[in-house]
Amino acid sequence: MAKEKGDLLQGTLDMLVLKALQLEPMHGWGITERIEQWSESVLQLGQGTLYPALYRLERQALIRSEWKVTENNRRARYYSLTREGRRHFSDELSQWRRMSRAINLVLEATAE
Amino acid sequence: MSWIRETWWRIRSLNRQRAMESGLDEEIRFHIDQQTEKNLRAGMGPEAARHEALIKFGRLESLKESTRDEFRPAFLEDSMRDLRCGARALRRAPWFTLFASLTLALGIGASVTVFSVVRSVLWRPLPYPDAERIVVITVDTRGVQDAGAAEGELLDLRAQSRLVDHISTIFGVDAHVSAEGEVHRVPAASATDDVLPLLGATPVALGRTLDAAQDNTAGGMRVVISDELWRRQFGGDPAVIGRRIQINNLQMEIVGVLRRGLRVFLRPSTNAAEQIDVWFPMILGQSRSYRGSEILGRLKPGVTLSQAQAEFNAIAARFVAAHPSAYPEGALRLTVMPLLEALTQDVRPALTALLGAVGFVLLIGCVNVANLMLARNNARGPELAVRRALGASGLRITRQLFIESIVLAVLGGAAGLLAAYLGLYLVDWLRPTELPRQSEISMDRTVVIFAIGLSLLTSVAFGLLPALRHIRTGHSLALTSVRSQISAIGARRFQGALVIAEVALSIIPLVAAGLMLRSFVNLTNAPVGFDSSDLQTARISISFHQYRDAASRWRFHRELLERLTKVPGIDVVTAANPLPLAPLQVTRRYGRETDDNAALSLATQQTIVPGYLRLTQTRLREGRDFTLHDIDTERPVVIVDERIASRLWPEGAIGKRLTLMAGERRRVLEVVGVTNAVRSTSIRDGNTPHLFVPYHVYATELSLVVKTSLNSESFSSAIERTVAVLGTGRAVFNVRPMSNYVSDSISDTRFTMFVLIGFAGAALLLAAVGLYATLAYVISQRTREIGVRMALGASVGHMMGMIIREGVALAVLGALAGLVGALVVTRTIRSMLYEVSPLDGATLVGAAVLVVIVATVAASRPAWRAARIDPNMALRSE
Repeated sequence: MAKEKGDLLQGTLDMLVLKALQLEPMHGWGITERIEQWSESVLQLGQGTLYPALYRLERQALIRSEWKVTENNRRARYYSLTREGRRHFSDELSQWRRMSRAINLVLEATAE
Repeated sequence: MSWIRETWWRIRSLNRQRAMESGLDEEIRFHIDQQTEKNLRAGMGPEAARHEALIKFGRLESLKESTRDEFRPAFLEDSMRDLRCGARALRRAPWFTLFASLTLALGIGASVTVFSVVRSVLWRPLPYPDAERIVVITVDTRGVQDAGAAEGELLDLRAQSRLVDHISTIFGVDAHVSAEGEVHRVPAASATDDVLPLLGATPVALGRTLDAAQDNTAGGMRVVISDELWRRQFGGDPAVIGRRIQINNLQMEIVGVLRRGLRVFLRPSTNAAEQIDVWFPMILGQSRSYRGSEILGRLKPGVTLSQAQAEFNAIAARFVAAHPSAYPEGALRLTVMPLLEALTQDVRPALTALLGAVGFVLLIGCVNVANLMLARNNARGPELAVRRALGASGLRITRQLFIESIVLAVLGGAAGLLAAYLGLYLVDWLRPTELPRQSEISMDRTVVIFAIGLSLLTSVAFGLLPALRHIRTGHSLALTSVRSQISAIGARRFQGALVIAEVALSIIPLVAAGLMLRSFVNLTNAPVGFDSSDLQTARISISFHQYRDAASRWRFHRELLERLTKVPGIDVVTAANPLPLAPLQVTRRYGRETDDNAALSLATQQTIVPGYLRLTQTRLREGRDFTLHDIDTERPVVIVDERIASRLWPEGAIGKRLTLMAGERRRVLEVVGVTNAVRSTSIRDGNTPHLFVPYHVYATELSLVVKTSLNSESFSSAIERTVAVLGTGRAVFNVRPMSNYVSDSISDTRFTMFVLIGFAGAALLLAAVGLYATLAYVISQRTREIGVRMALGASVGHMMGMIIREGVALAVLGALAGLVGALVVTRTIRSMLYEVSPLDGATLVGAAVLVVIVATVAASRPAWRAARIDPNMALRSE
């Protein structure tokens, strides 16, 4: 089950996006804003990472998209989680928790 | 199972592609707009807000790339798009595309044509089994090279050689075939039994092959006919074996029909046509006096040429020992040569020269394409830099330029193949008489692949080279003008060098063409000694069975001439054989009466009737023409040309006695007239002198020479009618103007000349285009400088002069370099020139002047454009 480093990062990003969409459907810009806020401005998505991720997730049918009109009467594409996406997210989340706990344990261990 | 879903998704996305594309664009725009609004609310100025939003968003181009990569099969789509982009880019630069593809087309078309010809004629093996082992054996004896063999020698060679088998001979003859009351002349050949197997004609289609022992009898002759004649005359009747056919007024039995498609490619001295319709069996005699037979043979398996040559050297020595009188002073040499080499010997230098010339054209073409591409890609420098700044990867740009080059190569290559087809058609139309195997010339698969490969290689190499340079020059939009100036100067120097190279290369074929042109003009003006204009000729054939002796033959011809003179429309009739400059000439050894055999020299001989000399305007310097009385009383007289007269009898030739040798037979004739020098074998040969004998001395078939106002059809039927009345049962043939023989004899020179002129013209045109492109680019780079100068008061004329001077300077440098190269190269075509030195000053100077003039013209339009630059616009442009 060992993943490539690139995959790890990609998987992490996917997880963040799915989390951002967990509450409510959102468009691309909104997702970056949300993640930026929650991470206290540490994670700034851009760099051509977000949209490829969104399209990839859509291809894997974890999210779906539709065009809607915003409050300002502008057209935007809104993404939302599918049921498959929710299930996938909770799987990934529990795995992430287990992994990060294990890593923390190792890093905090003192010599015995 | 998710891969099913994925694939389905991808397939669907192919359809909704466009929707997705525009969707993505809109999404991105929305994103950036939102960020901009946020920045505005945070207090940034409008421009700064947008700028920050763009930067924060990141590199647009590669984002779009990678996003798109997610929803479609990337490579094929990208390539299709690059293809369309490439085609569009080429359309937007029509002159460049036109010139570049025309250049490629020219270079490729010319090379493919010449290469096809050379390959078909010189390199491809003859279409016979074991063709590389088929040889001819030439005989040099008694001071004559390639004199041909005597039949006795052939029999002995057959008996004595262990290393060469199928030793045989063949000689082309005419067969007058009667069918349904009409007589047609078809090409035929008399051949020994081995010839047909040697040429791969056995096994035959019907019946059997020749067997001279049973087929050539006193009672009647049996022949083998060709497939084509069989179908034409007998309708393909399978029961044709054993049937009779009337040839030359005799009934002959058909014993065999050949398979379709036999082509006889032998040397012209055999007189054998390519397509032989009737094959007569030949029995060899023991004579060692009459020569002229071509010896064919085939090396036995495992035998090398040098081994065979060694054997024949030994056999030659044995011949000389056994027959000392036949070979005075032991002069006999037998040379073994592969048939293909012997066949193409004469034409090899010309074809090699053409191959060289076309190589130059191709080289110049490639240089030109490089030049044009360089100019173009330099002009696109800013565009490429902007694309790089927007995030297009170096790989992407390279790929796009690569595909553009491919499109250009395909265009040029396709046009080139078309040009090659036309070229081969042109070769067929020009029909140079000396070119053997013309019917075998075709475009080769190998050549086509070669051409396509060359086209791709050229355009890709020269298209990518500049591109690679750009990838490395960094991607900051702030490409300072300084840096661009420096790289521009480097590019200019390189381009200038390319132009000089082009001009130099184009001078060489120009000089060669000029030399050939002068040779051709010299040939047409060469003093042949007679005037063939406005004279018609026709060959009359008679049976030597029907007219057994010279007297009866003379009676026939005399009556024919008298009858013809009475035909309305025919003004003057005379006859001779052979006609001057016709392919087969008669040569005799001549000398003073007191000279012995070893002291005799060679001359060409013509049998004439009275009136021939006057009609052909052959000037009699001394003495008189023959008279009817001479022939009636069979007086032994002869007319010689001035070369013989001045050589043998400088004190005066009239009344002197000339020895003439035909085979072993010596005759003594009295000289009654001396004419101007007459060239009968070839215009180039000014050394072999000529003599005329009256009909009874050598009573052969004659060709009519007629001055007539009738057109060739009426003339031809008038003759046929008259001949039919006299009942020869033979056809009248080769009805053609006498001048045809003259022009045919220089047709090979004419062919080479036209082709070289064509190539030289093409090369010059290409060089001019290259010069034009370079100057145009130079001007576009120096627009500011020109603007400054004009603002500072330089006049229009001054600017134009400056540009033109630059162009002319490049051309002059190139011309000088080229002249040096020409001095070296033109030595190789020395053998083809006629009365012109390879270092001919007039031609060299003329070529250089022509090039400079062309350069001036090519430079004038860029100069004109430079002059019209508005100084204000120029100063503001960057």
